[in-house]
Amino acid sequence: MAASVSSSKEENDNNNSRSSSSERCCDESYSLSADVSESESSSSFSGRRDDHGAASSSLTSSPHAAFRTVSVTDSIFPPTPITFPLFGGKDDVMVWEKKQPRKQPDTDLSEIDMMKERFAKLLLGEDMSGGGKGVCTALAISNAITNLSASVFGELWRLEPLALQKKVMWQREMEWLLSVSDSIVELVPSIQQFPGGGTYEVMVPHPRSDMHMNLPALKKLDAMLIGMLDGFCDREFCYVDRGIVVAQGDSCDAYPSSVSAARPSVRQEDKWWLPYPKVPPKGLSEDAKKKLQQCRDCTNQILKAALAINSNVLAEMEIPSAYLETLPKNGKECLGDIIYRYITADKFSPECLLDCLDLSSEHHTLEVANRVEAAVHAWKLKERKKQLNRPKGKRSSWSAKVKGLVADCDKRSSLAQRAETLLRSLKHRFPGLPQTSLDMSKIQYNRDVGQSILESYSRVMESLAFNIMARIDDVIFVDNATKQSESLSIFNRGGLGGRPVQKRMSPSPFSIQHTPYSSPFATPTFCSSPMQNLCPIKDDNRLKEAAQSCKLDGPMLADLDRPWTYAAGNVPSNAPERH
Amino acid sequence: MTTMDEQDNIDDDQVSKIKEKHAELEQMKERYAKLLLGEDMSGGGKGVSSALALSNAITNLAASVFGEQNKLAPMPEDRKKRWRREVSWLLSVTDCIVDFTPSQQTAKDGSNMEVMTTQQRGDLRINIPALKKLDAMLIGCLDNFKDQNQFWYVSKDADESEKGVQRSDKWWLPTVKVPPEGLSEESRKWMQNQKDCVNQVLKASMAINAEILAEIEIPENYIDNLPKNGRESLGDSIYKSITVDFFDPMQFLSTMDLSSELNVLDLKNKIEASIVIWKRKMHQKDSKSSWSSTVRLEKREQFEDRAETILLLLKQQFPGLPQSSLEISKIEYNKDIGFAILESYSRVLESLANTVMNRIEDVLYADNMAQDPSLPANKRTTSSRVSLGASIDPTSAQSPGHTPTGSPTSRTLSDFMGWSVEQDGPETTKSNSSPKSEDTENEKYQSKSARILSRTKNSYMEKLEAYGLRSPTVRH
Repeated sequence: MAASVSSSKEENDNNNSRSSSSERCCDESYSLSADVSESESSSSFSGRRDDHGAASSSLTSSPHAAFRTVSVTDSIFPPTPITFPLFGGKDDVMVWEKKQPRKQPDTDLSEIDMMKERFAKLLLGEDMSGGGKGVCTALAISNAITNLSASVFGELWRLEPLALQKKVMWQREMEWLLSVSDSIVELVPSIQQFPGGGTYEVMVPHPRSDMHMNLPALKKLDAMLIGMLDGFCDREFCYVDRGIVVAQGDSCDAYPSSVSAARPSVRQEDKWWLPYPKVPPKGLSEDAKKKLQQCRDCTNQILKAALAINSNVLAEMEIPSAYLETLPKNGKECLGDIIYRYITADKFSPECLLDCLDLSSEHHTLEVANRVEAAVHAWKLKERKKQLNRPKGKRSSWSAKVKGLVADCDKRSSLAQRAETLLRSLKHRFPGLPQTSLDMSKIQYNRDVGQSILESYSRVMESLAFNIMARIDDVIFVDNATKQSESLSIFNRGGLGGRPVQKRMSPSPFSIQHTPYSSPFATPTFCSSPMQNLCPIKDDNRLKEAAQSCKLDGPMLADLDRPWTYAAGNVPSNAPERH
Repeated sequence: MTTMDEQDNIDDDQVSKIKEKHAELEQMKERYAKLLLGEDMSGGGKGVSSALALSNAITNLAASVFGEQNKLAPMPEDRKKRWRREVSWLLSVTDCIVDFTPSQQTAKDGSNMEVMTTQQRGDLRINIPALKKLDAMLIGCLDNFKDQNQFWYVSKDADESEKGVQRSDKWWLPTVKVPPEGLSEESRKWMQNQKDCVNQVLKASMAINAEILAEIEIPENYIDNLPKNGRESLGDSIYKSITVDFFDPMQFLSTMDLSSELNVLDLKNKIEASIVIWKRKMHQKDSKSSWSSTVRLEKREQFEDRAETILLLLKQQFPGLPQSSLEISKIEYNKDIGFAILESYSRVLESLANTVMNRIEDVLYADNMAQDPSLPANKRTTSSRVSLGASIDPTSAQSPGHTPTGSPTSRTLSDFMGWSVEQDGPETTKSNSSPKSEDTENEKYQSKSARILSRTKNSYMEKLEAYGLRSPTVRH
């Protein structure tokens, strides 16, 4: 599942260095945002502005936004010149900048204004100086969809209907963004009849075929997922905040006392902010369980569909020349000695090779995937160059397989083929792998607006489906555990990988960073800050520094070391199969 | 019963209102989508930049809204509405263009600190309201002709006997009829007043347009296509005449063939190109040693100065010249969205002002003819821009330092806009004579705009004086 927009470590470093010129605060908080694994609540930096709206992320998108739940909490933030609108975790409370005037404009007008503002920003390509140094339309829309989903679905921690205002926001803003696709047409010849008989051929505009096929499908998947969440309005289980579980300790009668006692401490938990599902003492009813399982299956199908669309679109995108330029000179350099030796051996079995490699963590696996992919393209590139130089060079494909006769070029093409096979096997084995650097490069440099809409929409649907499925799994697990009266928490489920999984929904890492104007508005900087009052600050110096430098006194948490999509080691067990 | 009906009416009203809003939203989405695609409907990202897309959108919108304004009459309500609505969509982009400015802020504990706040970019903050005001003035001016009954139009297809007066050779326009004895004294005065007002709008929009164009960077593409040196760009003979020891710009121009617009434009293009060439060379010479150059630095500076003078004179003598290739190139390759909007908005207003101006001239001409039929028809048949520029006696513009009085009257825009900019006594009193309706309308803007204009007024006006009166190309 190459879904999360997660940026690799390298990407972060790049971003950081690129944004070094931007304001310190943004800089710091951006690094946070990029590193926060599975960050779910977001804080959007906003320097004090007159029109608060411009602070990028959709939640903050308009001063006229009709969110009535906006509330101001003085207690959390001391008065500082720079305040962080926080999308506080579990109860959908947005903490706004304090001086925000609360207008109550008539809604029609505000919708028009919001739309104007949204489109204006897209037109500016996130460069608020207006100097035209922004990103291209394709990336601007891709970023907008990514960021919108991060603010709407970023906090999907429970199986419950989406808050109304979020649902409205999602549907409205997606409609705006997708409306761009309505104008994307291709001309197809069509036979028309003259009134007096006879025919003539004219070119008529027609929706582009890829959009025509995939967009309705994605809209359907979208509606299904939202509908499914809506279906959880009368569920038999409920959620308890983890902090409360710990604080109350044994007094929490919902769990065997050993549950909380067995767990070392909140601090050491991953995904500690995820609320704990709580089922009735005797477990879920048969009906409820069945329904849950149905939901899971359905979500799984949606996930597969979204995944398929996403990988198709990505495969169709051109390989950016920026990617090709950064490739090492030869395949050996790409692969490293060990893999190179395996791949150039007389006999080659991708499965054997994969068995030997260290694929223990997602990080390693992705690294291997990147290397192999780079090698494939390095070899192909060389071959293409050769062919250009020797246009008459005749090569038959069978010769590649004939040992001893392989010419230099043929060897290269066979190596490329082997590497491709290896990559396929790898992807098959790890269907949930995040985007490779080629994928990310494609997203970043893609100029086709249609493809960018399809790619980002399918990607966010994929993440959403994944997260819903993970939450369903949590409930099923707790239910099973309760039924078997086992004193297990979902965090101790050994076989399943030990920890709950959560797909990161983070804002786009490709929002522009290079102008001082743009950064505060272009990128909603996310830092995880759930359960403000309950959680201790994680013992992480970098974070503390960041927090201090941002003059943010509230506790901030982030999983700095693992920008990966889900917990290491549990990928295969929970991830759906990629077909 | 009646209450039921009323209820129904209200419901109907609301339903239609909602429908209208919905339609507006749909239209807006479509419009923005096209802008985002940069006019490349394949979605392949091969479209034009946002800046050019916006510029084109404003130009096209104006063409379709104002294109049919060939009478002095209020714009139809639906077109007026469309213009206001759609231009506001396009202009709304400028609301998001901001820059950082430091500002003092007092914290809760009373300590002062400096924080960076954002506000709309300076050039937009000043010029957009000014242009909006000019826009409203022009449309208001057309509205003023609602109740006039002193002249009327006869279709261009009417019988020769019924046809009125056609000032220029624009056969496609309806002809103007005035009463046999001409306009009444009062109405003639009123017409003159309208003309002055439009003239000021014209000058102001021209000034803004020129200012923005000057600010847009010279595109690489233009520089790449320049000839190697000034001599090549100008051609031998012109080069020689510019580089003579004793240079007299008027003398120079008198030797040029300026008989057609094409020739003038060609000369302007050449001169503009050589100015760019010389400027670049002088700039490069700063870093390099200059001994290798065939033309010495001071010489080049002098030539460049002369070329600038010629350019200025050309602008004064031929105010209605179409855009030069440098200007076109700037518009085409400009990436700055703020500039793009300012340039195109000011250009279309300039064009509309010019159109209205011409229509007023048509009426005044018909009036002249009625009063004195013996007036030789050819005296004023030359195109309107010449008549506009006629008030500048070319001979009075002897030197670039001399500023000709640009308009038929010495009134300034502020008189008409009712902005309280300090003026010489007699001129301020004149402003009282501007039409009543306009005064009241302007009062709304007065407080807000006065501040803005007073800041910018000087530069506009200086520029205006320097340029003389130039009317834009008529873009029908």
